[in-house]
Amino acid sequence: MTDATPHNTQSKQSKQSKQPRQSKRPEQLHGWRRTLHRAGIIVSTMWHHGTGRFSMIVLGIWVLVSIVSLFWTPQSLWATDGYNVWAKPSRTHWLGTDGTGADVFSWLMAGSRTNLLIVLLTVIFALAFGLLLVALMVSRNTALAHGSVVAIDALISIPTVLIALMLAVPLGASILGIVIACGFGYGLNLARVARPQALLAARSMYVQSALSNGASATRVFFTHVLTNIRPVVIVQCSLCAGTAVLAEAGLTYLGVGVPSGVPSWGVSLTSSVKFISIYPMTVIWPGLIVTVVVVALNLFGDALHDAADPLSNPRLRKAQ
Amino acid sequence: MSVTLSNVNISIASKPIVHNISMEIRDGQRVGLIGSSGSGKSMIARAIMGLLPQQASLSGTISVNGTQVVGMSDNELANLRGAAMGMVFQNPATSLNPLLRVREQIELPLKLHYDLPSDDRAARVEAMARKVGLPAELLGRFPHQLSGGQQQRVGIATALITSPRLIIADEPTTALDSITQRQIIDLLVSLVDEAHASMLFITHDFSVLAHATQYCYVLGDGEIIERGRTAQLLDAPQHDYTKTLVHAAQTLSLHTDTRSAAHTEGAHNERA
Repeated sequence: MTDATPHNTQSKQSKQSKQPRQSKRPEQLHGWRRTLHRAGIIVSTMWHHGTGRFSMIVLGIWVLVSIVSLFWTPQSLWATDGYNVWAKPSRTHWLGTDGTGADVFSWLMAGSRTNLLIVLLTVIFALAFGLLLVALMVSRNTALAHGSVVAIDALISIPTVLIALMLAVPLGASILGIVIACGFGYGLNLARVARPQALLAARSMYVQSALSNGASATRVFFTHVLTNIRPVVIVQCSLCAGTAVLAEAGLTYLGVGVPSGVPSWGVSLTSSVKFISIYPMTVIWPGLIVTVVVVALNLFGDALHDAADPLSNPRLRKAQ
Repeated sequence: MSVTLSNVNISIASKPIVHNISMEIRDGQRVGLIGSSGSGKSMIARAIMGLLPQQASLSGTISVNGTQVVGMSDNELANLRGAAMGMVFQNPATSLNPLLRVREQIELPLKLHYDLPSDDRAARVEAMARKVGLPAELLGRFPHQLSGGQQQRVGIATALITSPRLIIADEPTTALDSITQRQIIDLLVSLVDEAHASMLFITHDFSVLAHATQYCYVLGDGEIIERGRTAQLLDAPQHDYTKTLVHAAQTLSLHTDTRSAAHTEGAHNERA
């Protein structure tokens, strides 16, 4: 009741006006502060959506476990117990042991960092390669633009597995082989999917306007074309990351992926898959992790796409 | 800044667009280029800016302050554009990047041509926005959140922020209503005069040109068919094509005046 009296209202206002403003208003932010402010809004928007929150939690755990595995695992990776093979989950071995008596949980923990490395490298490779191709396809040089479209259409017909098998000849079973094969395949895919949007942006009046202001072709690509294909690129990168996890498992099973002895989810699956009918749990654990992570990566891409697009995120639109 | 075009021919895919054009924009002069749609007006503007399409071929000479523009490298042209020459486009809704905020669009030429700290850049953007009549709170918005007139003010601010000596306005009022058209023309003229810059104003509407320019070229089918002081051309056009353009402008102005008079009268009656 007393809150509504003019006196109290006035005193509240005067108190507020006396307090110095601690933080800058959003519209006064510049440079990295503004970028950080917008990144905060994107993360917060994702967190407020169920799928975004789920993906952030799963991916957060993945990154955390990868870092922890560098310093600590419940059991040593190389500690094998010949008298305790295919053991059920217990206090000593949280997810049981495999055919050599090694701790399944420790191998999955250590495998998470290998898979994280493969995913990061593959996405970086695919992104760099794909964007280079997009730049060629929207170039003002007609011969270069047409030539690159034909080349991409021809190269995209080569399956990723075949590329990995060919790379296995000089490289053997290696992480580099997976990264190059997947990055090459998804880079081509990214370029083909992003091309129509990129072409629309490159031929738009706002690009003409930017050129009339003295922008170079490189500046136009990074400031205008890339900004407008960002939603497509985000979704493609998340798909690429998810498929890289699956490809790691598949290629390792074929013997051209992660070499045996290096912990990875694919190696854990491959080493136990022959015994699935007898000891199913040792296959189910890595399989379950791969499935959950792939789903989380795809959902993360969708959530990021929605949150980072100012046209579909009103909070980002209001932020200065 | 003075611009001279001598015997300029432009063709696209072997189809002639502009034939043997010669024209001059003197230092501090506001020159109009009028013609119907498809007569090649925009191609002349793009030729001056060095922004012709890849498949276009250009012959003749275009000199900007005595420097030959035809044959310049992309880097040399990029240094000239924005810093010495600015361009305002026809449709503000499409000439602004939909995913960049107003502030980012206006500061782009500054980023390209001057090495300024971000605070200085922001201050200049705010000063320019004030000059073109854009409230500061609009700087953080996206183009689709602005009206057509506000969008065109952003276009003008972007073109003028580096104080170029030549402004090319390619039908800057075509996509706007008549009241906003007048405001934008007045703004453009005052800013150009204040900066002692030259302006090439392209339009297909004589009524617009009368307010914006001192001298005028009439373009028909890719050729200059008449030239002279804008007031003289409006009073006594010689060529049939010019007469048609002037007549069309007068008829439209008459209709607009009659309609606005009727509107005012109606409003008076309602009040009574």
